[in-house]
Amino acid sequence: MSNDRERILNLLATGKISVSDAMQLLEALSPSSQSATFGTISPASSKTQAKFMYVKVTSAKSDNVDVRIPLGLMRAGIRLTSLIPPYVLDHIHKHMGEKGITFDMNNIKPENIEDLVNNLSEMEVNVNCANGDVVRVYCA
Amino acid sequence: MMPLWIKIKVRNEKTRLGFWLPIFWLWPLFGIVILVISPLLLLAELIMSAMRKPLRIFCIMYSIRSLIISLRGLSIHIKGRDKQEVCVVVG
Repeated sequence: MSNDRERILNLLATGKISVSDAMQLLEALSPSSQSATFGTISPASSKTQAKFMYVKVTSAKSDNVDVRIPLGLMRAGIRLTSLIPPYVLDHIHKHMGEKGITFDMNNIKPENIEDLVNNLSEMEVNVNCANGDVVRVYCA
Repeated sequence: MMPLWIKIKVRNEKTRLGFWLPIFWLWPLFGIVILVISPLLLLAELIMSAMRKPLRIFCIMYSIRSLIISLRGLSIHIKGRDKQEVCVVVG
């Protein structure tokens, strides 16, 4: 382990790698990161459950937005739709149908919501605009 | 667990405001209010159910409770040009 560290530091001293590269390599060698990357991967932890959805907007003009939304809030919000009275739902479906959207909210089952929210952990949206604005949406 | 506090921070060139709102005291108060009005709600629910238009008041109340509980951890941080900053955290 110490030999590896020496080699990394020598590479840094000779200018073959940058400081950030050296930092990354040293971090990879640290015991905590090794256990995190190669360590105990139990069946339960193999698929980590995301708890929050992050929305990060960084603009070139230094307007930054950083939002952290608990996924439970999304779950609870979607479940609220099940409380819409049937006659209101019929009204919504009728008007959506007129607009060409044949989406039936009755088809959304609680297990679908769970699946949807649980699988959000694998979702990541990265938008890099030409003007330098960056939008990033991900769950962790 | 219900949210216990809300942290609000507003900063710009002129003002610098930051405070914590302890909201934990609201929940026992709401509990008492709901206990007091629940007979009326129950009556309304029974009447409307008899008319075949159930209000599902208690379902709605339960859903709102779930919504409030899941607010914990919500964080909104907006940082604009001209050193303007708004931060809201629910904890």
